[in-house]
Amino acid sequence: MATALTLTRVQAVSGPRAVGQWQRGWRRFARNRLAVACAAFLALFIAVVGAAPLVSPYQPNVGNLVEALDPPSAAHPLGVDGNGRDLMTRLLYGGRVSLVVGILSMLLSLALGVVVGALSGYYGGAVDTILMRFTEAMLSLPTFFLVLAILAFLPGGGTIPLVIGVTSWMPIARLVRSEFLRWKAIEFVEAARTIGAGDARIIVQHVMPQAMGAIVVAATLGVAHAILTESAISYLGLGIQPPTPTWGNMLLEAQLYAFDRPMLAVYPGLMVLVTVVCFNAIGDGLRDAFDPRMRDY
Amino acid sequence: MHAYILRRLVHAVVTLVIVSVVTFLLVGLAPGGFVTESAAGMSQEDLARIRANLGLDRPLYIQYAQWAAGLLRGDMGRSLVDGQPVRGLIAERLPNTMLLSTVALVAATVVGVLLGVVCAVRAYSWLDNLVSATTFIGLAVPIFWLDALLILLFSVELGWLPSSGLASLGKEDDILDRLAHLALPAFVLATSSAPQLVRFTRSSLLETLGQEYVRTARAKGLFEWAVLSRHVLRNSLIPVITIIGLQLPRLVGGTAIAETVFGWPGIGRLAVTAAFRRDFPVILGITIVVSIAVLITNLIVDLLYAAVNPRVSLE
Repeated sequence: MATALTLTRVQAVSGPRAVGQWQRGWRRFARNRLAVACAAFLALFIAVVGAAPLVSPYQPNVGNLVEALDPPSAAHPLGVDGNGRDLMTRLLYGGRVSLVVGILSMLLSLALGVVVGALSGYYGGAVDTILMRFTEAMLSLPTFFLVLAILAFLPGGGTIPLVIGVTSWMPIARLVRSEFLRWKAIEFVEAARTIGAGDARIIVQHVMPQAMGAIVVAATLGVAHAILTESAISYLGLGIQPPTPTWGNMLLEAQLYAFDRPMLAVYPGLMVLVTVVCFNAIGDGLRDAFDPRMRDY
Repeated sequence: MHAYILRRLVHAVVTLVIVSVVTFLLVGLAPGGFVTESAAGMSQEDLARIRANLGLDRPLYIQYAQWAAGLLRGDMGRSLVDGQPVRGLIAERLPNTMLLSTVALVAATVVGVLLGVVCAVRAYSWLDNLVSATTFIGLAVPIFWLDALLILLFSVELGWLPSSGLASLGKEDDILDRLAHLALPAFVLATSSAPQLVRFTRSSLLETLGQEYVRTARAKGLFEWAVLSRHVLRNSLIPVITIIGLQLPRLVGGTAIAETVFGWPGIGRLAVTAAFRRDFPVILGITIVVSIAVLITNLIVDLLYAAVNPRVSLE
């Protein structure tokens, strides 16, 4: 009871951005065992994948054809693929690609979504109408077809985060817009305006921090979406091209040996599944901790 | 009501114009596109002549205007690869895709809503936990991987279901055979949208169950099923309708993968093939046709929403 009272007082003195609110959020997050476990696992995974050249004695793209399709052994814990390459090494290097593509795509879609949502929600009126019409139009597009189409004409690894980002910012824009609608009329924003703060300052300094919780949640779930999309397009053969390993193109290659060595096809998909589950669990955990009002958006 | 329908129609048309411009620009801005790619060993004059023949030498906005004018007449140009009219290519395969996605959408809706209701009514029971865990994994499962696993299990190991195609040769009229071919791709597609519906239905229902009027209904002695069917479901399933509409673009996107893996001759597979061949008019046509389908469905969903929800003001 005493702590609750102190927290309220701190909040009252220094406004809703006070440390107390974030601390409470983190404490709520720490009680969510699934989310914490997933965050710990993901941190470990990022460390291992980042240190892949140290962890694995093999090169991802150099194979020993004599060992092709060998079953798991002490030297190759998960076995060897059809080109004689160590499967675990390729899974680790593939993980680098997935994480980098996932995070870059998320950053781009976040940037687009935040700008569109903030302008739309803050200014309202004609700006809002035009931007939201555009957002709705993009939402009714079958974006996966659009991704395929663009990649067909602009192949290359760098295009992938760009394309995923450009086709996935819409839910974030809607979310940020609704946060802005809610916060722009609140008293402390009015107060800032009264003492002469400009639009840019109000948006960045006063309203944006309020929307931060929702944005962080959306970003986490956005990484999961991007990893799934990248693996799907690489699986179709339109994404990152072999020999660079990605979980998607590894699965495509593994299908050649589906009858003899089905596990070659199981592992890459399992990696996607586990990674995406982790990002989703963390996203859900953050949402429950920082923004309990917001449910399945 | 008429004014409302009219306004929604105008919205849909505006959206369609934006969609067509965005698609055309994103795909059409690619430098060179089809011609440079397939031009190995050709002279500059030949290249220029091919581009002129295909109309690729004109400015982008003129290309768009011509394409849009054709679209209004139902003409979507010809495939750059084999010269077939895009309209015919799509018309031939659209019914297959519609069959697949309708079956998947209906299955996902029935299963998703039922499970969502059960989970909300028995919230935090073992059943709810089990379903929640399953939907959590379902949200993260890569659909192409699930395809591969199911083929391995049901077609290769058990031999129960065919792994590809629309029907077995010579059995095109056999309903059972066609259903067997439909089973796996429809299941996979449904799996990609059912989890969202379970989660949304559950949280919508839980919210309604906490309302005062539900307590009133219980307090006046109604049986639990009466409370549920007459008060809770009616109110909480209305928002679910919108979610079903929003699922559609995602579901149709999933057909690209499911149809490719299962050899289902629909427009999703056509889109993937066209992407590989850089067949600009075909991809463009498919994107537009699918967008129109999504817009029409969303229009129907909106009108349904207005019809069943007395709280929506039509003015």
